[in-house]
Amino acid sequence: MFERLMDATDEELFRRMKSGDRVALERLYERREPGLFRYALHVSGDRTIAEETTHEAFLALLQPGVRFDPERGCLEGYLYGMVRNLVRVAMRTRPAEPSREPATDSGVLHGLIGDERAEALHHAIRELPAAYRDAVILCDLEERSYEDAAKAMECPVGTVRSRLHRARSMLAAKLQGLRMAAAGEVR
Amino acid sequence: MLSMPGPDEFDTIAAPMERLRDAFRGERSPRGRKAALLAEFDRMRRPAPHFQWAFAVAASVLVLASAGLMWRGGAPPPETRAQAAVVEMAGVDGDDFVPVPYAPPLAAGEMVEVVRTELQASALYRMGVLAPGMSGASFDAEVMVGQDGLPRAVRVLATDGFEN
Repeated sequence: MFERLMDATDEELFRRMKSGDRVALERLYERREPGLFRYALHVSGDRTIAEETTHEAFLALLQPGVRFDPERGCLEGYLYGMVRNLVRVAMRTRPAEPSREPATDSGVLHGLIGDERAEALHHAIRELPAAYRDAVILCDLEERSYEDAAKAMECPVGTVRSRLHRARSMLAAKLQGLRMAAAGEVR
Repeated sequence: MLSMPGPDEFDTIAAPMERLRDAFRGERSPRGRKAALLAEFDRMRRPAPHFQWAFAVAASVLVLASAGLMWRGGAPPPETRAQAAVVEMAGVDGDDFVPVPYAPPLAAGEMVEVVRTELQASALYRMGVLAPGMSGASFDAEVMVGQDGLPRAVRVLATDGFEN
């Protein structure tokens, strides 16, 4: 039964789930939850927020009043949009972080990343404007194709390419600036 | 003017990006989250037992209230009942029961029995039904009797032998 739905689109799984198909919900969850969770984790830098927002997005899908309309976009884009908004709200309401130093900003993720330059990059990614940040997370960290990223971001493929190029430039400049600042301190 | 990094400068992010990718690969919500979601799905699919129970109670109350309203609608309040009970014999055609004034109300669902009998005007009077100018007369009537044996309404069928 579970294998039978492997090839079903997200929208088909959603439709089946709404008509009471539990397996369709499981399949949709297995397909989309990991990426959504990591996306929320990258954006928030907080595992609890990532867990809560991802779970809340799927719970929202179960509600009778869910406003997803297949005519207006794909389910994946709808889910990413929902998680993006939930994370934004969660970060607005959580207590302010005591330190904004790049090396320690990742806080709970410090043990996960375990590399100073990678942590600095992660911090720089989180500081990018949302549209550029999403392009880097989806294409460079999640290794999604431009087409898939465009679906998730609900924008044209060309926009994803240009945002990604611009985002990489910004990140490179940021890391070079940090390196030069560190070299200056050493001298 | 902003200076754009050249291709070589992108190399500065390639290695840390690779490490970030590896660090986050395989990260996902704990399994308990999926179980909680499926439990919520199951809960939403089955009707809540509390709701069924509340619905049954509400339906019972509605039925009882409707029956009460119907009964009250058929019996006018005491002051109008007394007035309606004044039997103007000249106008009686025997079609309608006249409620006996001040008779105790029927309980919801209580059965009644209709008894045909010959009544004296004085008996009508004892039931609170006035028959002006007909004292000593007798006539056929149907009396609606509750399960407690008390009359609730009376219908005069014929006024033969009635003395004016």
